[in-house]
Amino acid sequence: MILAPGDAGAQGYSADVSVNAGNFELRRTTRDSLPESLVAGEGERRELEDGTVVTCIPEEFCRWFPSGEVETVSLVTEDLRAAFWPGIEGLAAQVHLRARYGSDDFWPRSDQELEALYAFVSYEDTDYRVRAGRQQRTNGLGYYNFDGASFLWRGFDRVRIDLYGGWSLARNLNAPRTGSLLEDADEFAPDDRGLILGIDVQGRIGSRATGAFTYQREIRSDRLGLYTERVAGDVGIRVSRLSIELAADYDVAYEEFNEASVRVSAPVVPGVEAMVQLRRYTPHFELWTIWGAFSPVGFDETRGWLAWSLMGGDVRLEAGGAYRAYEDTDAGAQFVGLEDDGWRAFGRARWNREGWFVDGSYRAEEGSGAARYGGDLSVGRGFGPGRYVALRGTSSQNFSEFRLGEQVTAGGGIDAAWRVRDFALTGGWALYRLSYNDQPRVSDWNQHRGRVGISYHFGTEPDTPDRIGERP
Amino acid sequence: MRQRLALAISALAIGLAAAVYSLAQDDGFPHERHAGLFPTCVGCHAGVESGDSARMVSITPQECASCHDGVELEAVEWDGPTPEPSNLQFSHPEHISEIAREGGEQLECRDCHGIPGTETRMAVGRPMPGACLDCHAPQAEEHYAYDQVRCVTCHVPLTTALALPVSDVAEFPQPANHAADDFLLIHGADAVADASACAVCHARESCERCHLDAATEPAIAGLAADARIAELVAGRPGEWPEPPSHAREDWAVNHEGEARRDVTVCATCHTRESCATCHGEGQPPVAARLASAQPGGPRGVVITAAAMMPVGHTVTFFDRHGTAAAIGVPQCSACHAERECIACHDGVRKPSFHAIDFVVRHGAEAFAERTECAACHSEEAFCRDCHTTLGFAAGGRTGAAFHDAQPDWLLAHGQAARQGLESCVACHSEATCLRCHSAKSGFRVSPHGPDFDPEHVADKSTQSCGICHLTLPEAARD
Repeated sequence: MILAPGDAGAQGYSADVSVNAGNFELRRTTRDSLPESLVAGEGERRELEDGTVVTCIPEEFCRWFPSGEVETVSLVTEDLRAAFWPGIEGLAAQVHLRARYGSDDFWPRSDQELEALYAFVSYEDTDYRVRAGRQQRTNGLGYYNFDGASFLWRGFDRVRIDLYGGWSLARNLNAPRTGSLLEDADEFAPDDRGLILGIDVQGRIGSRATGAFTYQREIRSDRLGLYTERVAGDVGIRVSRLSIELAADYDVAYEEFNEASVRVSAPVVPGVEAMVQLRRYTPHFELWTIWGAFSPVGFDETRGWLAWSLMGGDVRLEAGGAYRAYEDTDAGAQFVGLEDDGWRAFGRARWNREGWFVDGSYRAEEGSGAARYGGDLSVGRGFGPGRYVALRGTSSQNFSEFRLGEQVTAGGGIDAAWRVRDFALTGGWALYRLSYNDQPRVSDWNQHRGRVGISYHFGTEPDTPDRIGERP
Repeated sequence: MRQRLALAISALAIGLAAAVYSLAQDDGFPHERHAGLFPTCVGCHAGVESGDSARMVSITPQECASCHDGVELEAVEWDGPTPEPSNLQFSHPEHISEIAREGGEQLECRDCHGIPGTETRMAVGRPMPGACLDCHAPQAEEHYAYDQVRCVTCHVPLTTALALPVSDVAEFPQPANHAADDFLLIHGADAVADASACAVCHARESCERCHLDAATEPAIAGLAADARIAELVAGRPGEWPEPPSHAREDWAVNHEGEARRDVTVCATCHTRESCATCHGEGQPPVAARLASAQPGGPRGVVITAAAMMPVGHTVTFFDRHGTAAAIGVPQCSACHAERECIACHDGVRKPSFHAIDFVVRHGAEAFAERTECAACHSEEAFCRDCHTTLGFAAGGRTGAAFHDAQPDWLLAHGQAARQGLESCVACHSEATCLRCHSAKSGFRVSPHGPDFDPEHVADKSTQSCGICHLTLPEAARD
């Protein structure tokens, strides 16, 4: 896993190796029950003597969900990012390998020893670039990767076109859809590895606008159907002091905009910036799942944000909020009264001078499914790039609309980063007090969390001649 | 009135031209008035034949005084010509012998010194450059046609014309091609091909004003230093026009190929500090081949990060850049150094994508879809895996562990599911829902909303149709 800098002959290379380890405590949710006949009362919802709310199945049992014992789990990830230049003009190779080791298989995928996030060979010329291998693709559709080839043409004056295609990989998994990762997680995982084809076009429109367009299609390799067919586009226009951003991605299969937004931002007066955004969001599901057929609805959201810099930028104040309203679901009983809208508001104040900083924020959020109110406070000192020490505190209340009780979190910790030449060390430790209301059989407890990481950069270019322009 | 004004202006212009012309011809001695007195030129200019510059004007003031004695003729005060500093190189004997060797027609003095438009033998003056060009560059359209005339034919390098004062150097005329808009961009090829031509007017300091790589660029290093040029360029900032390649849309993110191909081209205008604007401390190796800015030396092109922002980095991108950065997209590090991230994520906003206590607070953010969790996390293999391990995803028709606060959950879950289906998927597998929502078994409750278009979806894929309907797509549509 570790690459030591050595003589690479005529080759050049640059690499970063990092190791990050996390360790924290948790308590799993367990299930307990009593025979229904032993619980007083009637109906589905009853209370035990200590106030614990239980759900009863007639003539069977009443159940509730206490917490389990405190467990300590850890995860270690090792990353190698490297680029190689074999000495042939324009030819290069890049790779990002990751290995994970976790305790008791708690962490998702921690039993997977090694994966390649990307590993490709590329050839660059003035007007084009060709890549082959495992590649990542980040565009208006989000993040995809695939095993295949891409061709970027940049010979046109104001437009660049990127064509790509190959074997598709499950979104965010760096693994084929037919692999064990999905098979283990879903009874109806795809039985056929897909192919991906796409095109990214980016360009400038006049002198004040930029635009990007993406079309991407993932098909079953047996041609029996699609996995996804999506389009995305965004346009940014600058009109005087206004920045206007239009962005959308569209699911061709379900004929639905997954995301569409209009955003306008501008400096209002010197030191004050403002932004307003209208956004529509509907979740995207691939066609191999049944979820799209469940007709998920979207929401329309209005966002606003205001920032004020004063005292020469030493102080910055921010405030903002958003309100969202869901479409009619045509489902469920109206008398149940679930939330069908949501809002959030936040405020933040930050002071920063000569490396010292104090940062405080408060956020309130309510909506369908969950709510949270809480604030954070940080005090720290920076010592230049890659070096800081910060003390942090936090307190919040977390609610779930569908789950009994609320969780209150309060605590704090310290984290720091320190870089010395090519070495960087990061670390943090925190202690939180987790308390629960309305859940008598869930006891309060203290949670420790810690992490440490180290990274090292190295690289050589043995064929580098003397520095150009250096005076003798 | 207008005609009279035009006439006056024309007369003034002609007068000025004539005055300039006459000044150009005036060498201080009225040759024409002495036409009858001197039968030959070499009588007074004996050095012409021998090449003896000391005797180029061989007549003495005493010989003038023999006539201009104040009695017969008015006395004159003439001490002979004052030598003027020049960077010209010319040899009368060599010209004479060269022409004789080539069998050309013998030159008369008037061939070069005659005042154009005159016929008188002694109507002479200093030769104009055109006289030289007539033979040496007959194709040249003008004296300063840089590409048609070899300067060094008549001029010595500046650094050897030591007598020229700095004021004269400052007033050197500019060749026509130097005025071209792109001259700074293209002059290098000419300089490399024939640096001696540049050396007629320039010294090393001329180039060092802009060229950061002057010390190692042979065409520049070969030029001698000159204190006069150093005085003239002192304090003048360098000029670094933008090459056409830099106007390319993707130049900001795709210039490494060119840099690696020939970084000497970059080295003319850029120091390592140029690269550091975007690459920071994690500069690519090729950047190390550039020199650092020298104290007191030219700073080179100063790049601001905003000027290099590539297409596609719209404000919308700023919203989603965290996702791209969190997955380690290789292109980020091509332009951005970690210190740029630290400018915002400086420990105030946490160094990692998620705060250290994100696990306990992520529920509200996930439900609100402030960002798309699925952009980075697989709902099936990541979210559900963890939730199952923690015990939240109990599953099953009666095992709604997470929903113990909602006694009428079965009645409510349809609305909740359609509003936040991604959150459902984070705990429930498809089989959980199909116990009721399958066309082949269970309660056979249709999950489709009123706007669901089965034919359109089936046109795209029938895989998911078959899960519930267990029939061929065509039949399913029936």
